Amino acid sequence: MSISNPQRFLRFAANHYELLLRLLDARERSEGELLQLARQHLADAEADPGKLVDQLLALGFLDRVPESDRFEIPLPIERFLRYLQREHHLTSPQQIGSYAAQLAELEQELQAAAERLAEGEIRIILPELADRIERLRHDVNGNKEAITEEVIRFRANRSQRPLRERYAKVVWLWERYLTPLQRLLDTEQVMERQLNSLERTLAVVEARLAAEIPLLAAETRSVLMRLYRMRRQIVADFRESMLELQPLYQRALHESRTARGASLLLERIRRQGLARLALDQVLRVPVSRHEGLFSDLAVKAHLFDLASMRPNEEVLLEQAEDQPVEAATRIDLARLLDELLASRPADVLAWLAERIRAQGGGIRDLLLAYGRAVRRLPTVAGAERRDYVFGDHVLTARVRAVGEAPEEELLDE
Amino acid sequence: MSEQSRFALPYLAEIFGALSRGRHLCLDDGNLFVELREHEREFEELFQHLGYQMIADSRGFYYFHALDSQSTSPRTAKLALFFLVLVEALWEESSDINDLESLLLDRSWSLGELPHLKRERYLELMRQLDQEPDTETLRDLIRQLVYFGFAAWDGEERFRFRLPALRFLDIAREVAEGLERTQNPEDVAMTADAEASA
Repeated sequence: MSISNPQRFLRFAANHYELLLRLLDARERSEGELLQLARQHLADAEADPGKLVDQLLALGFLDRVPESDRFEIPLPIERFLRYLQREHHLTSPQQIGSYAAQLAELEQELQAAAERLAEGEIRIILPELADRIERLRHDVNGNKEAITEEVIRFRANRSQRPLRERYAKVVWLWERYLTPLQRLLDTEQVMERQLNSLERTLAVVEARLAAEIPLLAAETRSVLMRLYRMRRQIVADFRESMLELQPLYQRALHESRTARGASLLLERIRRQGLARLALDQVLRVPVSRHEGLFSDLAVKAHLFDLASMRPNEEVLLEQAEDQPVEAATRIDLARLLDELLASRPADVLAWLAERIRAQGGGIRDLLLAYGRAVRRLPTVAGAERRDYVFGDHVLTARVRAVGEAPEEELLDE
Repeated sequence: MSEQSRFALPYLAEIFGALSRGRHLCLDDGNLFVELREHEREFEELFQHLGYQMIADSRGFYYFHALDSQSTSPRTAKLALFFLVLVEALWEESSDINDLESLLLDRSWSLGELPHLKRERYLELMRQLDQEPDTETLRDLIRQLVYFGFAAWDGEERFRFRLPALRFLDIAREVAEGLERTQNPEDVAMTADAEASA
């Protein structure tokens, strides 16, 4: 849609700039939504929002969506407003590649026209070449700006989109824009050869026209300078885009790989059952089986505690046979240890002595239970040494308490 | 063992006791971790002689890796399920931070904030724990995570994950990487998100 009165168009844009920016927030709007938006931006509360919407339509700021009663901003207006806002749109690598192809065609036409010294043709071809070169430069630069904006948006995360969506956008930008552009700019690729060829042709044409049509030689020189600048800038812009996006892209792969692995595993668990996957074999967290090895350490500690035990009577070997044999253990040690853990006494040996005495156990039960408690339960020895009287025996040991760490609520498997 | 013995390592009994019960030790464990880090090589050597393989993870934690001849804790498979559900839910729903590790580690959690009982799909998975999942199931799983050093209580009803919890993320990543090795890497990159959103 052409703008019939540019001054009026620009004056309206200046007066209602905030409203125009708000229009960019949504791709389409219904008439009701437009009226509501217009009402919010009317300086005079009495003014008619409908009239404002009519002006938007009349000046070309809005267009009707085909086969619909909704409205949208025409693409050139949207791009103009986004340009003013320093928001950039992405140009596809295919589009950028097509500029290169067009440059190649124009180069051939220029070559032929210069050979014939066809001044009129050259006057048409040179601005066309300049136009394609500038478009290419601006579009690659626009891509860089758009990618930078996307990276900033990702980091700021104002949209509060889930991780999955945000990383998907990063991967999309990388794969849709940067990777193909990298192929285009690769020094071994077609575009590079085309631009090299155009450079040579422009230099040759400039030299040929210098003697015959000096004015056109200067214009040719100007196009050559544009070409130099464009080549310099697109490489710099591409590198900057890579630097901006690459860390996020690698992070995206890393994160999505983790999430993907989790989803795959969950799906397998759902289909095959948790046991079939044997995830414990992946983690390989050991189970406590201390009977063989831990006893070396724990028993040493246990013996250390009991090192100063003083039996109150000497038993001679020859008399031992006459000593009454203590009854076999009747104490349920596993249960006793469970109770010990639940009670968390400050003095393990005193607690055990009291319980075993109450259950009719003997010194062997006590030593056995205490040894297991030391080995298997989280106990902490204090500095204080204490004498414990049990029947005819006096045991001396450091006071040992059950540890306080909550994780220790679980017994070893 | 004399004081001069090269095996007279500080907190040896406590460290061995913890690691051999399957606990993962990290900076939160204070002296145990500090001494392990200080005498890492000696501990490693000693444990090796005792038949244990200690892993010093570069991210800042230690644990025993059960050898083929040693038994492994079956409880950890349940903990892995708990974690995988959490990772999937965070990936799909969470928006307030940029990576999964930070999502897991930089905050504390209450049982009510966990996603496991909130979606039928997750409930179905949690039923693999051989009981109808409820808050008590979750509490029990957290207790076990705490026991193994993957989490720590942070007050009465809150907990937070500790660095060793990253091992569960490793599992998920290794599975995906294993799959990638059998596929064209570009195809995987293209389909990664599609599958996650499926």
